[in-house]
Amino acid sequence: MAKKQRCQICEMHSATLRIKALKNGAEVEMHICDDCARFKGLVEKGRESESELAAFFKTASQNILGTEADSDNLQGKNLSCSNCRMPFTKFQQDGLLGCSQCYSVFQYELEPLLKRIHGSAKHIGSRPRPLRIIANQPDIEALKQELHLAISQENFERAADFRDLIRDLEQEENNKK
Amino acid sequence: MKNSTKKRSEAAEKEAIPEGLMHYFNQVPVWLDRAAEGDNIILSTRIRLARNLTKLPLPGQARREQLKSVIQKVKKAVGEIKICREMALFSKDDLPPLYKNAFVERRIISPAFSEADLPGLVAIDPDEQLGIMVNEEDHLRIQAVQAGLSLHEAWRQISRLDDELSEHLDVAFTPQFGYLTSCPTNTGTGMRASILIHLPALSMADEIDKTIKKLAPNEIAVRGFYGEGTDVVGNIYQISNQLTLGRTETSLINRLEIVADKFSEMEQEARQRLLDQQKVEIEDRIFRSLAVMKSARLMSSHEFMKYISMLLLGVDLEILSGLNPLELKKLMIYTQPAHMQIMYKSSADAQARDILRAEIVRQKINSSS
Repeated sequence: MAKKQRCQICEMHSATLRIKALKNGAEVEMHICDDCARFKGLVEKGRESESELAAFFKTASQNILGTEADSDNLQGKNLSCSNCRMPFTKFQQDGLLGCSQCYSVFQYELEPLLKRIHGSAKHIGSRPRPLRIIANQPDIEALKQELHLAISQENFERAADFRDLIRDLEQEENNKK
Repeated sequence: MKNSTKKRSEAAEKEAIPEGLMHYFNQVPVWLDRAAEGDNIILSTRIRLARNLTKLPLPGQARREQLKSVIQKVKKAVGEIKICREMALFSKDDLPPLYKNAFVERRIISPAFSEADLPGLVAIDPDEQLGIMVNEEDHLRIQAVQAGLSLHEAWRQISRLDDELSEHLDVAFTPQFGYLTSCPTNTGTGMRASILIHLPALSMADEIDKTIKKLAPNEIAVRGFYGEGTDVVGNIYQISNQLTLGRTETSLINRLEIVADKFSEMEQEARQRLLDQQKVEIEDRIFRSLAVMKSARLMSSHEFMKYISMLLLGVDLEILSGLNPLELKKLMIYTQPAHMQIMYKSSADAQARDILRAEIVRQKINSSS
């Protein structure tokens, strides 16, 4: 990885700007990062560099939801969340959802995106403790579908995960009987 | 700044330091302390979970009073949970900027949390092994940190805290998508498990990119020292799971553990190759680093990390004797910019800091080697 000049203020991030400052009456040159520049009020709004995540999302949403030109046809284009009022277009810009309700309102837009990011749109991990007591019914059928999908994609490591999980769950069920 | 004004502002800052805060700076984090017992390749393990409360807008969309209400709910929950009893709570507004930076350096909070101008709260246990950030990108980011490679212990600790919190808070969750997070890259388990790994031999052999490609497919991310968006310093890398949905936490942890072990093994092999094929060259680099650490008059933190990495390698390869790896790792914490300003009262001026850093390093290295 290439060595970059580091920010002389925070010493944490790569320097992206070279500024001239007055120090004891003499002009000195400093290399600083975007964050420090923003905090020192040295960067105008709109000139800030795009975050890694926003950039990723721009590409990810464009790939999954079509190019910007196609986005006129998007179902979610005019949608807004009824709870937090965030429009879907804002999510497309910065990649962040407005509230937990957004997941239901934008469900059809989010599912393909989640599949693209994670290879799946179905949670199989842990649940909050209160829900474990009343609704801990693992969906074995859904897991089997995921298993077949993983095999068809020749993703055998992932298939092995599902195989083990299904086996454990079936064993648990049998023990209960 | 005139002297009188400077004194007044220093006094104001002193008065403004919240009670209990200095405890953290006067101790070596337990995860670092215990790391001295293990190997010096995998330095530490961390697992963080992203959680949100139902209905309330997420930090990026919420109004300030809504975020304050999240803080109140979390404070109440923490007050009722036994394992949180010894945690210290700091409101972000009460933390002077310097101390926020120092918390970032100690990895208690993230750079993004420190920088965002939003109401927030930090809760930390006395050992710095468990922590909560309120109103980072998600309402809650909870983390467990352990020394060395200890993913399963970290998972046990964090699940316990998560279970307790979910008894007291309405956590946003659906059976379809799992835990609902601000960013879809965290949806599902909301879990990011990571290890900090020191890979000097692979870096020297220019095999890092090759190794990453070989060992870290899409599901594993390799990042810099302070996490997302930061650079690699001192040959220390952060390796974490990339995916969070459609897999169980245990399977994600197991996969990361395999990759971490493999990185560690390849680093050991690269070290052996250096000893077998380039013994004089590696000894030269290590002793030159030692010489600089013993004599330099100006040292930036980046330069310090470069040399400390070589000294740690020298200790591991038994080329250097008399240096205690824990003392070296402590230097890594206490020579960071904000820590130097707090602990050694260094000025904020970068050059003055570099002079003082060189002095601290000289004293420490000369007295122990």
